[in-house]
Amino acid sequence: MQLIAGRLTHLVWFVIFTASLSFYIKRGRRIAELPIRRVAGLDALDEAIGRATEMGMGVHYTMGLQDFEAQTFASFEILRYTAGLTAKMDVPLIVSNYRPQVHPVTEEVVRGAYVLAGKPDAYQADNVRFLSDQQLAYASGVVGILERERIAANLMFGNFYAESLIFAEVGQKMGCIQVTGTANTHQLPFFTAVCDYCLIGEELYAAGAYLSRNPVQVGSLMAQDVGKLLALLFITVGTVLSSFGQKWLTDLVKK
Amino acid sequence: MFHKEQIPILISLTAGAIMIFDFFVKQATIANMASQALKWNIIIAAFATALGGANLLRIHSRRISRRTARWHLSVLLVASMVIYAAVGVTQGPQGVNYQFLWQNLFSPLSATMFSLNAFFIASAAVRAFRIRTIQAAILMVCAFAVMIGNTGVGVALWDGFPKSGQWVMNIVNVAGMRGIVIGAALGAMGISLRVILGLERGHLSGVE
Repeated sequence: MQLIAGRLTHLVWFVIFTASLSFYIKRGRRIAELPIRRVAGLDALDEAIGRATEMGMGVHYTMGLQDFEAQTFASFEILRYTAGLTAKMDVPLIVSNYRPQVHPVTEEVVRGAYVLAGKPDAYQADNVRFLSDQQLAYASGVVGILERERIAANLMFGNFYAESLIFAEVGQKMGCIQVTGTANTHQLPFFTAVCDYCLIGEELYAAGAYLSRNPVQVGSLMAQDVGKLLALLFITVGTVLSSFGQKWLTDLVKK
Repeated sequence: MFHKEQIPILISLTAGAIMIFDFFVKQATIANMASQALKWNIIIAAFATALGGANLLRIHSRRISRRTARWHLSVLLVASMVIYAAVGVTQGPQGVNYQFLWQNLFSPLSATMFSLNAFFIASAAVRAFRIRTIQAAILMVCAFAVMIGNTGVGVALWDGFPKSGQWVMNIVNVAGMRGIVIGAALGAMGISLRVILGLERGHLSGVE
């Protein structure tokens, strides 16, 4: 067994991050009490669903071009919170799915949230929909829902590509309050320009910890902060060394 | 709840460990296992497509039978789905009729949807460039530098326009993007590890 060339730094980084993650998760409940900085986009979820309730209209939720990857798992946490809130407030929630393999998981998350909210009978299986696994066919399906189904709040959290602007502009045209979040840097300008609130990059991954205060998720957030501090340290030291013609750190991280 | 939680966690842990090992070490058995895991993903996706199709059929058949608003659109959807599936299953994706449908129906419709972006980018830009705050003013100046630097007029007016546009894209833009990417990568690592280790369970039963 041999380490693949150029992956040593990745391995060291992976070990440090995993160790830091397990350390903070073990600290458990003490960490869960620590304050997390306010994320306007997540606070706006209540406002968006409240507005839909007042208007007697529905909420639409999309995870974009979802798959079993990190952004989708982060989005499940927000969906669970949203579904719980819509169940409590008796607001219809329509979830549109792109990947057929993710669709049953989405159904389960929404159904579970309705059960937890004490309203299992209010769950409507027809409102969790698989549309298409072709990008633009899916986009046209979502546009159809936004145009026809009396939606007051359009929530978009996950992995978005070229369809992001189509969703955002149509939602804007229909007068929806729009709360979004993605880690896809090329779609962030569209969301920030058109939508009311946007979670940027890591804020999407922090959503679970922010909404649930689950000790495991808050611990993970602490580990991410340690990672960011290390990255900052490496960038600063690397910049200073490079400015003085020292390349040893650059060579080291390439290993 | 054992079958709903413990079995998926075991599968996630095994598949995740295989993929992590495959990323770091050169070993034939692990590479083979990783390749098999990816093939399994394709097989599962194929089976799940049937589930997705069933969901679509259930929702739209009900709409047709109840004659709900715009039920004729559901007829169109179900008919397209059945015809497309029948042609695909009988002739395969390279069949003449399947290719005809793809090139003359699906591709133009997709291109039409995609082309909407051209108009939407313009309307989004109008909203983004309204100078209401200092940040919006900075954004406008940067956008002006990038746009004029990419046009022939800009080059003809002053040769500094392309350079200033490139400076905004290569220095300011990249610095901001990298900050976001580092944070997002750490977030993705955190959530992936939690899923692989079975610490994140909300997606399994909807209950944490």
